[in-house]
Amino acid sequence: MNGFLEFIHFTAETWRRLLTYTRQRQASFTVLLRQIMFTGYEALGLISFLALTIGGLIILQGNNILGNFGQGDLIYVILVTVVVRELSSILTALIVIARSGTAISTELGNMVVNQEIDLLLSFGISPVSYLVVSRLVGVVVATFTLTIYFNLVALLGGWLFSSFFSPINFNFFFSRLFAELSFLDILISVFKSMVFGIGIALISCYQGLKVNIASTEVPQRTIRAVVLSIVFVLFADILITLMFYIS
Amino acid sequence: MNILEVKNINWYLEDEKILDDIDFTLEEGQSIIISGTYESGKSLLLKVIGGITPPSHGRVLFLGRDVYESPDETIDEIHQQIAFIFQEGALLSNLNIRENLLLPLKYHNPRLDLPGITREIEEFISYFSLGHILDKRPAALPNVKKKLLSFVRAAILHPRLMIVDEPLFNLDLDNQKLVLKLLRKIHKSGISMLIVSNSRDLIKILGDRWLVMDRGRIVQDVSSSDPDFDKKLNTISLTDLVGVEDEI
Repeated sequence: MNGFLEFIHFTAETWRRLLTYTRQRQASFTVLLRQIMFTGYEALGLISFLALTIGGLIILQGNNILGNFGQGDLIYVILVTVVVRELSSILTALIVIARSGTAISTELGNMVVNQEIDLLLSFGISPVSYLVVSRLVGVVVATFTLTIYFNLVALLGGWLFSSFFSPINFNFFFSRLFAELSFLDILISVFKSMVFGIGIALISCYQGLKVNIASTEVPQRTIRAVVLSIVFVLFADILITLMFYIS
Repeated sequence: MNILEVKNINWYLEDEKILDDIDFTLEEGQSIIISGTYESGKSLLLKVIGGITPPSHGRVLFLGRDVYESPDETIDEIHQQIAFIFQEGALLSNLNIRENLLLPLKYHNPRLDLPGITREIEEFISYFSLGHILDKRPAALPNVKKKLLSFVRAAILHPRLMIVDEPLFNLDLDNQKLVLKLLRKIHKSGISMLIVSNSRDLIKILGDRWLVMDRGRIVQDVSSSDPDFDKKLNTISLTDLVGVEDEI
């Protein structure tokens, strides 16, 4: 219970520092840019591969099953429901956890061990302001952008794989797809990605900074950051889906 | 005028008292050297005074303002006037040396006189014969260079108070001399100093006052103007003081 209250306090402190972030100097801006580069830009290859294959696999399975029932048109509904509503945000979040959540937790943990956090405090630089807020903003921006990118590539992958079975006009495919896609679907996908990004960044930073003295604590905290981030993402996904789709 | 007032500082690790009722003041321009056994709590005391580790009880006042219980802006101002040098040097591993040296200045002063500061950095780099290291990462440097760079970083801050934890730790004799010379020059320019060290040379050269700690308490407080200063300094057996630089 104490740990949870501490996390709430840490979250509140991060929001408080976020409000004054625009007053921060260029030093924090460099940290932010590096985080966006690492979490976003450097993950593009993996996201592209995953999105392309996921989009293709859905088409492969969908065509196979739906074609038998003469319901081939439902493939567009399935693409929108599975990719845009669910998989894009969840898979992007899992990749962000695997790459950036672990990196953040490990880096901050090592900074504690090497007295780098003490050093920042001695300069009068709040570690929350300089390290956490920059990473929070960086991870949210990157997760948000990667999710949109995932959607685009997965849908493109769907068209590419469809074309293997029977050549299908690009414009026709996407006009049918967009007919099934509502603005709310896009909005919720983006909203989910932002919630996931906030959760992953806060949990990973908190766990990293919870390291006390020993370097052996670093991997333990990193594992905890990964587990808690996955649990958070799945629970948040269920809640958001219940809020917007079930009601 | 007191630049620093340390009032009844206590610090607990769970039930164990690590700092026990520490109370002293430091006048502007004065230097205090703190010596003590390995686990006397002297490094922890520096962290408490430097605004890094809050005390369990007691207050630390810098120019009359509380180092912990003040508005954010005041605490920022206080930290801009205090330079802290860690025993191991402490550099941020994900920044290169140039970024490391400039970080505290850039963070607090967005309109920094970069050419002026760069000249000053180069002078110190040359003073310590550190070579072309500004674009390197800390991981690429030996510990001695990291330690010397922490003096460069502190010096370019032009603080009013310099807090130094074991300045001679990890240094060879030549570099010890360079560091002592630099610290003496900084001190002569009127900057107050609070230094943890068990080196008798350092205490003699820099100490206006000498505090000895044992098990979290100050057990001796001697002024350099005390006629028995040298005698008291010599009576402290170095075998009682686990000063790493003396062992070297």
